[in-house]
Amino acid sequence: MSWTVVAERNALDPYRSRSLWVYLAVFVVLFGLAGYVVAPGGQPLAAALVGIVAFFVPLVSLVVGYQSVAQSRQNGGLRVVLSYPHTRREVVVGTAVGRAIVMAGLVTAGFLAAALVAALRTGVPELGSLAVVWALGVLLAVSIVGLAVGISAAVRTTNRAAVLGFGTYLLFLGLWSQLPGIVRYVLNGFSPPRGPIPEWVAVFGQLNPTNAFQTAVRGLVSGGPAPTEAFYATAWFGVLVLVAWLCLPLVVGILRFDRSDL
Amino acid sequence: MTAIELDSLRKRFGDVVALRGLDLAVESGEVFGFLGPNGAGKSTTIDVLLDFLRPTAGNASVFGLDAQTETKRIRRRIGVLPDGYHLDGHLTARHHLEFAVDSKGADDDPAALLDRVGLDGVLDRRVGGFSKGMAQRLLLAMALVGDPDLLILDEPSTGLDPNGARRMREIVRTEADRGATVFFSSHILGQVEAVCDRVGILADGELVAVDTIDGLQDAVGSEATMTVTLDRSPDGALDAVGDLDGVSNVAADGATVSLSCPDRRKMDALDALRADGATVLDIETSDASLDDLFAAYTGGRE
Repeated sequence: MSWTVVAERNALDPYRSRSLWVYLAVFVVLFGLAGYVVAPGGQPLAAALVGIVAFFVPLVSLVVGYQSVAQSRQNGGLRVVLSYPHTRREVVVGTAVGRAIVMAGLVTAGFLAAALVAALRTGVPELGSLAVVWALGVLLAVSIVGLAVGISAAVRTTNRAAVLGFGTYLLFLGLWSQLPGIVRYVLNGFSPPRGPIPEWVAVFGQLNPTNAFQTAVRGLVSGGPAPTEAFYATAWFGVLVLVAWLCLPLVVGILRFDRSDL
Repeated sequence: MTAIELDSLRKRFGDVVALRGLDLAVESGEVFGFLGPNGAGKSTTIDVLLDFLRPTAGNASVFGLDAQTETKRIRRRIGVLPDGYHLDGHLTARHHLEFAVDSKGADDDPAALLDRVGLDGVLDRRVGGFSKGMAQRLLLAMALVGDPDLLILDEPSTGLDPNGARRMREIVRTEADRGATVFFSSHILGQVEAVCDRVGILADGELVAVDTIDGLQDAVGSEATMTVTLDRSPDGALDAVGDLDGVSNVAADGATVSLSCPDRRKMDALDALRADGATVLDIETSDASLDDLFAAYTGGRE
């Protein structure tokens, strides 16, 4: 199992470079703060954390992942790693797994900090919902690591990886919901479309991983009424979308990386 | 058994042709020096062997395994000191060596490996503070992990001080005695002639010579430079010497004459100088150096 050696090296890297402590401090402070401001009798801690996870976790996942392969390809570190019995594919998979472990650990530390602070201030929070949001938060973190490492493996330089990675983040954050409108405008002969909003617009909205995460949380935790009964509004569709974001960019990255001169 | 086999290997980058159909067989157990000036294609060849680059045409194989499809099996059997490498500065020498040991499933002791390359005492230091030579030694130590059947060393002496270069040669000999094949590249002939069984000279993407050091020396025709000191000025004898077949570069400085000629012409040249009664007081000869030979093979192509 040669990819495990690469995964271990990647998982230990933030600890060895001491950047782990910075990440850890940010997660503990931010999540701890959320635990602090949750008022007794108000919204449950899990619900308060959803927004932070949706906004903040993808960003850190991208930071942790976007340089991973491209940087060592650019500076020659990869020439050392690939001098040992690892295939290129194993290097990409090992890198993704190692960095995913880092992100899973950080998200977990954040949730522990939030739960601890909340417990000290207002009593033990509702643990069932917290556990579900934590699990989905880890899935979101891991899926964006897959996206970031996939991008990193697909391009030659860290600059391109940065542009693609953070461009994607901006897309998720705001531009995503505008895209269908733009497409409809163009399809309508460059004039504002009329009539009811077609269903594919809603489906497209659910393909955004941060939306998918929130959909999954809504389906599994709040139990509140979903905006529609459609398949794309279910928790499982959200989970499926996150798994797709984990796998597809990674596969594309591996295929491109496998075929090119280093 | 053939350790390395190149078959009509070609590599083109855009419109730059780096390798123009290399054919080469390096036998198992051999120490092979891969020589050529900068930009001749040495690293490109090695990068194809390591599957960092894909050939445009032709084949490369290591121990009969295809270099592009059976990379993992090849990498299990080789130790590599690649060119253009980078070592993560925040990792210690121990981290790097443990990565090599774990990757190979070997059980070498990191401290003993560092000892072998003369880097003892830096096991737990971060390599960010290492000099170029220290990094080079660490990489050599990593290449030795698991007693590889083939060592591929790309410009291994870069950045090494004379002690380091000597130790590098000793390690190459020790590994060869153990039965390993060693394939290493260099642009400096002096570094390879002491340890190589055979050398290949690469110029502008083509192998222009593959032979033993002795064979190469013979091939150059053992052209020698001879300096003769007479008891008087040679005057008229100079023309007679210059007219001899094979003699060239005749020059006189008072009673001292220097000239270039093949070995078999040396006595004729001396006889010609003594023809008008002069006495030879001293003779110095120097064989054509391999550097001259190297320049002859590669010079016109740069």
